[in-house]
Amino acid sequence: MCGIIVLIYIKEYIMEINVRKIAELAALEIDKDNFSDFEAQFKDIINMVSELPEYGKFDVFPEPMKLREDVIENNNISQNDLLSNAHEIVNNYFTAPKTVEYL
Amino acid sequence: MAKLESVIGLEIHAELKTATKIFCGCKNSFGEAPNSQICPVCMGLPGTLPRLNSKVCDFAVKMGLALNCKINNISRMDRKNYFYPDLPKAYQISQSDVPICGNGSLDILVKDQIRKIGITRIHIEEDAGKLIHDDEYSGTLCDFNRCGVPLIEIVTAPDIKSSDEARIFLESIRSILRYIGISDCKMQEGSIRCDVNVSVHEKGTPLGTRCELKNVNSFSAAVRGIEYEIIRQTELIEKNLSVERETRRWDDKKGISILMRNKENARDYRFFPEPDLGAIVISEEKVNSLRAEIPELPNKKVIRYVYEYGLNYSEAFLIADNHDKAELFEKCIEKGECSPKSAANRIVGEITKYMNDTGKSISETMLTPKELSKLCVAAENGTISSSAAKTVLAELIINGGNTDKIIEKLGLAQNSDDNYLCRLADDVISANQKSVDDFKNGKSNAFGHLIGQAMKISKGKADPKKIKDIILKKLKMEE
Amino acid sequence: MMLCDYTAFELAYMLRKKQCSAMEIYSDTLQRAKEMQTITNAYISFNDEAFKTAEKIDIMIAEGKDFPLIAGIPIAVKDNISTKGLRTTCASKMLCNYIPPYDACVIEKLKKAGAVIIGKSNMDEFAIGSASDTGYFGAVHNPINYYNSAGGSSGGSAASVSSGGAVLAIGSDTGGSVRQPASLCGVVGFCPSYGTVSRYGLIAFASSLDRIGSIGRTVKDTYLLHNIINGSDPKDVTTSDIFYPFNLNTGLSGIRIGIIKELMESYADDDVKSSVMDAIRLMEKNGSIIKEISISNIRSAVNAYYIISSAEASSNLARFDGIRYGYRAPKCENLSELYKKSRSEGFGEEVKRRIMLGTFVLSEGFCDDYYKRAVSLRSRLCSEFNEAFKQCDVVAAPVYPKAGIKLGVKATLTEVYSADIFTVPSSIAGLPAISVPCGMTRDNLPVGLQLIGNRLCDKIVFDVAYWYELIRGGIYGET
Repeated sequence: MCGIIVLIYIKEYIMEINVRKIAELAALEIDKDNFSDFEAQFKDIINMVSELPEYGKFDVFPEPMKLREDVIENNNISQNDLLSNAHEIVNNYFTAPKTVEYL
Repeated sequence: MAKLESVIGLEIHAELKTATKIFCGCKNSFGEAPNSQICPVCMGLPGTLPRLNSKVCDFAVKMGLALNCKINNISRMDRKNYFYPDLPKAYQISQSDVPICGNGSLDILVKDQIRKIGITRIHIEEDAGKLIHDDEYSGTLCDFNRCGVPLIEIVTAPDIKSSDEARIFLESIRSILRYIGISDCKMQEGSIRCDVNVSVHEKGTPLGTRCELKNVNSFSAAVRGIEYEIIRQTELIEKNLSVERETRRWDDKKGISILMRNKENARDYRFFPEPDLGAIVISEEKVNSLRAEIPELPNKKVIRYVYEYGLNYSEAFLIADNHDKAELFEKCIEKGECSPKSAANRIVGEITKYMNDTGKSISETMLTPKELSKLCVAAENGTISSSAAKTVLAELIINGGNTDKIIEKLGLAQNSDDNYLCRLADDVISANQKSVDDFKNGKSNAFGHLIGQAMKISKGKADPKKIKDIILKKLKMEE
Repeated sequence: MMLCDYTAFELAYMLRKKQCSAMEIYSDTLQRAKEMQTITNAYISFNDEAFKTAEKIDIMIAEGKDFPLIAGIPIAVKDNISTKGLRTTCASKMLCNYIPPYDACVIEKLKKAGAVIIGKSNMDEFAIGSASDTGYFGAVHNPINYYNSAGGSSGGSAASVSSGGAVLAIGSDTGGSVRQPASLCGVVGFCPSYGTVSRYGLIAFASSLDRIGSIGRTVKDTYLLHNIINGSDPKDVTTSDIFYPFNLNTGLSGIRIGIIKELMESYADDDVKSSVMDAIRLMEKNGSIIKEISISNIRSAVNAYYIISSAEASSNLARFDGIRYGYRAPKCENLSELYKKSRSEGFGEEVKRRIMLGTFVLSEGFCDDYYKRAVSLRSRLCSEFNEAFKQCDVVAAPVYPKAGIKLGVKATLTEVYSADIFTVPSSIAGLPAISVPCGMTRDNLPVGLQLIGNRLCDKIVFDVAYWYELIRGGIYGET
């Protein structure tokens, strides 16, 4: 069987990619000195991966999985070991700077 | 300007009372010492993987069935990505595109009208940890015990029209969650939470822009929040300003909502299918077996009690809300011997008081539906006075036994015999001529004295209502 | 020749014949590893407790007890696989002091079988890269040519086996990270079907692509190691079981070997192409049937791979915020600073680039055009491969366009990414694949032949590789 597949490339898209906004979303800081180099390189990569055919159905379902019984499991790891890699523990709590009161 | 209609939708999160968390085998329990109920999976250690608890799916399906939802035989989990210290993996495993339950509805009774509220979906997800602000420590303290506690999220269609409806809806959902045994809904423990979406519009025009209210910590706070939002949005529209799409934080103490996020800084959750989990498959057999486990639900009971038995809404709700009380009520009136109203009065009154005072459930008392029925009948036909009935009821609750025997033992049977009461009235009137004269002269407390005498002579056994009527009639006749 | 230069099977034989002890094997291997360390930089840390395992094996031998074939054999473990009590850094500043409190599933299996874990091998940071030159602890040099990279991201694992610093090694393969370094270091590297080796404990790069692969000097050694670590694991629901017979098959003339037209048209150095073609012709001479196949979308596999792997990586790496483990930037005034500084200082450049790419392809407005298209293409590729395997039993191809990657030479990113063309298609489709040494370039750099099998057909891949190794004979002799 021979189908004619029409590939629609997104390269024609002229889009404004807001690198700063993406960095915010990713909680990363791009060094101010390297910013323009980074931005150029980033857009190059995006250009490269932009060559993709249109997609058909996205409803991709993985294989069915086996579910776990609702039974308590003892993992034999002490609380101390679980907390031991933290930078700072206060009364068995992990710590972070003060959060703004929003959810 | 035409009156604005309000349009309300709710997103209710309820913690499920499974034995373990949703994606790991940690104990699911409230109030434990900080970070004592965690494991590598729920605290998000690198390299760990989630495993879905089958009971969570069962519970979600049950709720879906209770709300007449379409159950999706295949669904999947998705990642909701954002940064916050209470979220160890920096993503919440939730369901976005294909939730476990689809469209459904719930009938609620609002001011004697049955209102059908649409349910858009129910999905399962994991809870986040708790952030504590301590006086002694200048930052935030993080406790991950709650991380991974299973939640269902119930999303309604924007069908709710007032804060009152919202309250009734929330109470019904809570009732159902407790009834089918999947959540204990203790608001003070945070096991049920609610986000509210409010918009206003002129009837017949497209829906207005909605605002989301978060941090609504009780049902009454939901009512207050909704009312505030309606006023706030109405005022904006009246000033010809537009309502912006916003997420606002409800401050119950101050009674205001504060902007949290607007369109510009709205979170982009970048949903994508959870690659570490497979598809959730729920067979028709499973759905049917879960369906068989669901009893008649409280909201249906409320409607039935009001329409079939003539109870008022609050009595009906109080009884229907508690499975034990509903069972007692229904069994009691089953044979049609005692009146529903009479049984309801006692359940809502003395029995509930006893339960609240002692913390006992009905099954922990000695009271049986059969005896309650007999008691109601005895009180209704005047065999005992209402105050005597209280005594007998207390005895039945604490010690159980047989109603007739108790009445006899305590000598509580009152006399409603007309002949006896007529003679008694005659005796009292002839023995208390002064009081009779006083009464005729306008002194109304003299009447009370006559009644008192009648009760004294009959050793409290005279039917107080009847003797009153008879004495009054005789006094009037003498004129 | 020191003990570390023998194959695992040879050493297993010698142990049973009491021609050497496990302690001697360990001690020779450790000595070689330390000697080579200044040249290759193959290890990040050595396991100081390893001698205890060797001692135990020697006691078992002395007591005449049975022990598994792999017992007493020194193994290098890539440093993104969690080892309890032993630093696991992923070659990142972010985890440079992280000590996991649990063992990965594969580690539990290796320990149970008595393998001697000699140390944690060097790699690209978080397995992101193809030359093991992005790590915090420096690049891994190729033992065959110091100025070249050992390949990536499992460079340390391949280099240690190649140089005798380990007899066997495990690595992780997401887009070719076991096969490519194996090819560049002249050893055998196997990447199993997705879901046949538990990922529990493997610090995730791209969840739907990551596999744990085995590296050895011969196909039989590699098969031995793979047989220890494979199997479904209740802690990883994406796993399933395949049955692996103990022996490898050699009667394989008549086997159909597919050559993908579009891959053969892709650029590779002449030396590489000719070595691979020689291997294919040798197999044809020995009775196999060569078939040309077309998979039209195969070149887009690189794009789909970078999109999907970056998307998943951006989510998997979001948990690194310095709160529960890992690098925390000092003196952060607020939460936003904590996240940004810890992550920006803790991650290297390539990791940051991929996180940015992944965040972008999932972000609102771009998700449909990037992520969803990539996933859809992936489905299509899976079907096309499935169709292709109706015409052949295995596919033969090069592993990498070059035989040598010069360290410190700046190539453009797009060039580097595009070079993954030979390994990425089978990764995307979840197929098993192996790299077997097949020749040398004029500069005496090893070239690997890649054999790819259909989904879950891992055994056939091993069989054909084993047969090829036999008919090739030569430099990499076999017991």
